[in-house]
Amino acid sequence: MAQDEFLSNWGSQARKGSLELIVMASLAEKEFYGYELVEHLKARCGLTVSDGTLYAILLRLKNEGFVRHRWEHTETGPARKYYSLTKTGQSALEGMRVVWADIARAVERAKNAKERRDV
Amino acid sequence: MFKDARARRSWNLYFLRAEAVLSPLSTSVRRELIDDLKAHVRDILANEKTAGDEVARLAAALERVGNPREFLAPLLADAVFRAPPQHGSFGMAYRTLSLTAARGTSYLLRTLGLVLAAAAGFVVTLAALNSLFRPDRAGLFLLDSDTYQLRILGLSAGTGEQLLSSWMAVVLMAAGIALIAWTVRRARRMLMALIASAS
Repeated sequence: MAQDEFLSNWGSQARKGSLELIVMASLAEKEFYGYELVEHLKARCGLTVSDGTLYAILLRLKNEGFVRHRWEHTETGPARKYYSLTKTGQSALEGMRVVWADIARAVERAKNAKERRDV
Repeated sequence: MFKDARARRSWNLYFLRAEAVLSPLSTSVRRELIDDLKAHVRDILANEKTAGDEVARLAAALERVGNPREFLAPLLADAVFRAPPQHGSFGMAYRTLSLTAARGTSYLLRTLGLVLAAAAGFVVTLAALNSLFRPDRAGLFLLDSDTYQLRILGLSAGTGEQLLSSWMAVVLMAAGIALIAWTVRRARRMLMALIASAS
């Protein structure tokens, strides 16, 4: 039971740690409004985080100057706020991809070490 | 937006709770995030065809958005770490104390304002009501060229000229009742915000 809880917390932390990268990578493809981005992340990445988490991340990225927004009026409802990546954000994303690749390689090496020993 | 009063209450309580969590942040940031979240919940309600009445649909949408205390915590942590105290723990203690004092003073002033507004509404309503039934004793009297007297209870016969006609008394009474209703609504909202910030 304690292990299940640990795994659940660990999974949640791991997902949160990668969420900024995933959000920025999505915004690098095209601009999204909040609800659309949540749906995109669920469909494309199978992410299960609360929708509110995404807004906290968008605000943090905006404070960093990585994300900007523009308003678009809709015929059916209220105006929508579309988010996109700034040039600084694109450059930061490149850096984050490099760091992520390093982490992924390190994790992969650590995972494979035992298998190599077993062989 | 909602026909059901329970749904309106849930909506208000949820966003009051979010505002309470965000209270250490600047008003503009707080406003922006709350507006974004409101727009998002409206989008969920418009796009997700959840079964059930308004209350159930809103509850599902708010559950999907999450607990403000949990998902807003990283933003608050950012705000603290971005403005580290200049003088170590003394600076941090001073910052915390000033924030608490500012919030306490704000609540105190608002409470005082509401009490005064409610008292004014009560006095006006009572004087106007009494002047309808006892126009010679209660109401607004002109004693001489520049002296006015507001007689609220009208326990004794008044002197001077009554200035409140019947229709003016009715208008004043309605205004007094409206003022009382407004203060009660504001006080309730303030109390809910306090409860939300404590829960």
